[in-house]
Amino acid sequence: MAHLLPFVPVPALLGFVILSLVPVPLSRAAVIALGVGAAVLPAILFFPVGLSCIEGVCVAGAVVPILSIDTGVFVAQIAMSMDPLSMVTGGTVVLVGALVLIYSGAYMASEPLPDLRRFFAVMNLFLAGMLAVVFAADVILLFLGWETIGLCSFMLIAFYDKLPKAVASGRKALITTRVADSFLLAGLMMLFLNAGTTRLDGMLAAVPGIDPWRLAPIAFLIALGALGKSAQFPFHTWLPSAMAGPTPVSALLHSATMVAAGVILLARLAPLFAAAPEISAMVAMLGILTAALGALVALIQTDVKKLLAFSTMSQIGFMVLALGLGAPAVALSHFAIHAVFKSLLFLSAGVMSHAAGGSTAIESLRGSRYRQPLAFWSFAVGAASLAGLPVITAGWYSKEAVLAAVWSSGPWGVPLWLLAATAAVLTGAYAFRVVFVAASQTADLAAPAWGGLAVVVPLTVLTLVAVIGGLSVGALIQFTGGATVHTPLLPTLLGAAAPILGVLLARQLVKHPQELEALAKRMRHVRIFRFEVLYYYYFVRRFRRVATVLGNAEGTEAVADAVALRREGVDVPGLVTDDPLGRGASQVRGIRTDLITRATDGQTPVVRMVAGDPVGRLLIVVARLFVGFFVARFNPDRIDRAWMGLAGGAGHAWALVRRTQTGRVRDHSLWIALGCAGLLLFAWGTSWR
Amino acid sequence: MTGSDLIGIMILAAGLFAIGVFGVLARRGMLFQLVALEVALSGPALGFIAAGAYHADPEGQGMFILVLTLAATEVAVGLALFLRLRRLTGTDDSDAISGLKG
Repeated sequence: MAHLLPFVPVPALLGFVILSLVPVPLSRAAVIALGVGAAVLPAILFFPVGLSCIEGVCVAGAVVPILSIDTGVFVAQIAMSMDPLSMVTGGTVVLVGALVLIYSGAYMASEPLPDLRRFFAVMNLFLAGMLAVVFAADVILLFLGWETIGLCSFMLIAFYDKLPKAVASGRKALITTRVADSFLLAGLMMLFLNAGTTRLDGMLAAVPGIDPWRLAPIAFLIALGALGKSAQFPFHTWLPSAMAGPTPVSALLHSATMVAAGVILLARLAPLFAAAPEISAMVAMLGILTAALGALVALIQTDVKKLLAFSTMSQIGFMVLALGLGAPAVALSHFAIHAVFKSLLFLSAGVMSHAAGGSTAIESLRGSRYRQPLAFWSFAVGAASLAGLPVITAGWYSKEAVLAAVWSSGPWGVPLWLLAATAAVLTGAYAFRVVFVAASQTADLAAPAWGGLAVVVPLTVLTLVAVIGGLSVGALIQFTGGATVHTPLLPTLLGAAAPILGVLLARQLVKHPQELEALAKRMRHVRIFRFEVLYYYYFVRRFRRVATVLGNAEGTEAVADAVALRREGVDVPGLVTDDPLGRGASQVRGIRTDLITRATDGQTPVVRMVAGDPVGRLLIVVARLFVGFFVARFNPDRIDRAWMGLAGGAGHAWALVRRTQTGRVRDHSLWIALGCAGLLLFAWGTSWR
Repeated sequence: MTGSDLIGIMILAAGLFAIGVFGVLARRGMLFQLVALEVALSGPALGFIAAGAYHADPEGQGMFILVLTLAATEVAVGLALFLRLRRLTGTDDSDAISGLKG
């Protein structure tokens, strides 16, 4: 059945061509039938191909050639691979794609006809591009599909082109991924220059022969490209605003398939990253950072789609972490399970918010359990799978596999595992926060009728897979060439306790919403990921407190006077009260009202305590000398001023860099030309023999 | 064709490309920028022809036809952009669209 493989993306591509380019007016039913049919056909075509895997056709390195271009110097081969990796990812993509398109046949039915046609055309083009990415066995097809899905992502985010916000979000996504894509293109080109072939297997075979100092920049550039597409830190900003698109788009592109393309690419090039351990470590660090921060930020979201967007970031962070630690099979199994339960979450959230009058705010979902029982329960199952409730959900098995891979990854395994498990607790909390709100009673239960087979079928199928799919995780990992890691009992039990703890936390948060608000207020600097604020909050402030205690500056006259002056509006630099959050001032004021302070004015409190005790006095004098010579140098004036200057410098640097963005076509052309010239020089320098 | 001929033509091709890029960077009128882009494209095209002739290989001419196709599509997109620009701002000044200004 291998010869069927190249034809799997063809129906989707044909659907795009007919819907977008054929100048024949089509009726609404015809547009929906064509659009949905073009997405279901690939699944049907893929079925026999996937079945042939049982006969053992899909081994690592199995390739179906499509055509070769002989350029004299080398032969560019376009081919599709039939290895376990592309079968797992391809199966996931065709299944989720078909179900989401069936759903959007109902969801988008009330759009104006031209918009409907545009929607299905672009969705079909996206599906074709995504299938090209997952099946590609050479970089040409891979990059073609990669750029296609990036373009489709832009067009679908900006689908509501009457809304300036949607267009701006689409532009933001396009530009962010464009920057990352240019890194990827540069990396792939340098890999080609060093390997001399466009076939991925040939490139990977050439990896051991490449010098490490050439390999590291290649791996770095490719990793940046993959992280940009997968919305990982520091490219994460585009994904939350991408939720301006319609819900089926968020379900298919921005959770299940497109944003996971980076994971697929990293998994495909796993031997390359295994040969560049420092880049793998960087990838793992960025992955765990995104996983933890994404989960933290998702906790305080008030919009269900934004919450799911941050949750996607966080879950892909888990996959990237597993990839960075050299466990691509585990990452792929989590990709497959995540694609199922995350699209389930988006689709059922779409039904619930439709019943709530189109609002996606979490508060407006209140009472969904009574308005839309099917959507609510499928959302609950999806949330359970996302949280990874032990034993009964598919999410538990794949997340447990990721955690096990982290635990057994060497000396840094245990601290990383702790961080990942914390993220898992937060995952349970944010997932079930929505469920508990949606399950609560409300007065307004008027349910607009919306449902039908096109909604019921995708939700039911995805729910079933999200529950029983867990049984396949072990098989998936072995199929894609990974070994199941057996962890000790303790981390497994703790990993199972994490989601339950998260659910309890969610219960608490829903019962006492003001706690969440307080947390949101405290976390306002985390939400925007601003470095200088974070730096100030976590380092400078702590350091200052320590310096204040060591320097014993709190009770002194100078500070009290300075606070008094400051209160009158006179600027006095270099004190505890430099705290912009204004916490130091109240502390100092509290000490000032002390009775003893008034009695023994001019003496520091410690000296007062030992008055009349020569031995204690000597100790204090020594300590004071130490403070005077050593600790005082660390008082707010010098070192932490320099650090604060560094932190503030980030802001100034931003203002400067911002000015280079003139928006003029000429200036942008200049930068593009300079960047191309720089990349060419770099490539020439590193591939010179 | 000798090696020195090839080097001469390659320098000419690089010069054509540089002139084109300079035109894109220096002109503000969008139509002139499009013309300059065409000039820039002709540089690599000449390079392909010269390399094909030097190696006695017809693939250089094949690449030239590819470049022509590319230029045609580029002009189509460019003229569409030009029409949009005229409709949006009423001028052909490409500085007038600065939506990406930071």
